[in-house]
Amino acid sequence: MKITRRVSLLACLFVVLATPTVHAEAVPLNDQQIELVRRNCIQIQSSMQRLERIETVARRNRGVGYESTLKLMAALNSRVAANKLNVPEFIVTAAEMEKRVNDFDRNYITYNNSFHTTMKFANCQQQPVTFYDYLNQTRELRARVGTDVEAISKLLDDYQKSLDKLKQTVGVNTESPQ
Amino acid sequence: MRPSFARIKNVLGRHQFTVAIALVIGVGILMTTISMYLYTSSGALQLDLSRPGYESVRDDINKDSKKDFSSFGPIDAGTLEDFQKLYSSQRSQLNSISEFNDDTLSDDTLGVMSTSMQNQ
Repeated sequence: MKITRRVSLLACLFVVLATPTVHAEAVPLNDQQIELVRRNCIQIQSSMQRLERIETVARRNRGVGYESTLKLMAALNSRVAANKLNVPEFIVTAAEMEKRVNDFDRNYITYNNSFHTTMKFANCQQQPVTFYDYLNQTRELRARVGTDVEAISKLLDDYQKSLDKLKQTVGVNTESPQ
Repeated sequence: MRPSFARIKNVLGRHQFTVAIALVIGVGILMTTISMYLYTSSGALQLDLSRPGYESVRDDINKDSKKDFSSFGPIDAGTLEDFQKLYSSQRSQLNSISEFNDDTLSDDTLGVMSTSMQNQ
């Protein structure tokens, strides 16, 4: 009996620790705002359903684009190494890019789960404040995905700079298209 | 051999076909459960546009690039230009996709409350 209780306690502790913590800025709503959320929440959920379809395509296209770009980078990096050219920035940027793409994948799953919880929240008219908290949490998770996209874009710029440097070394005088 | 175990073995021996069917169903349920868990937890669910309700957006999917850059060969002006074309094409495709940083989920866009109300 004691062991069962300990196992339950440990399981609860694990669940609490494993749950990703999101600190959405809780701005207290006044009565008028709560009423507005209550009145509009069904419409918001319907807008979210439309948005979900668009974002799923964006996520899919972005993921495929990143994978293809990483494949291109890996091919050029191998070729550069085989030709004994010294451009360590290529390796560093590609490794960082891979890490960031993994972060993007992981953060998108968390964001999407939160998005679904908000979109399917059944008692939004009965519990408008809880609904609004879920919405805030979803916004914060979306911002994290946006940060990943921004970081990846910067890494792609860095890779382009290294490529320009290599072009100069090899003797290509053409400017890179932006 | 203990009597209860012998009895179970005897019953299983007499109903081999039923036991086999039950085992197959059990394994099927187990494998389906594992597959669904992997489908959900790996993020494949989020990418699966073959789900019902996504018919209207399937046309917006970018086609996979068929052009590859070889990992072998010399590095010269021509190969770097070839790479540049592929890289720039990938980048321009990425630039045309949502960056998840707009105000799509903002209070104003969703019509939750106006800015003036937020400041109250």
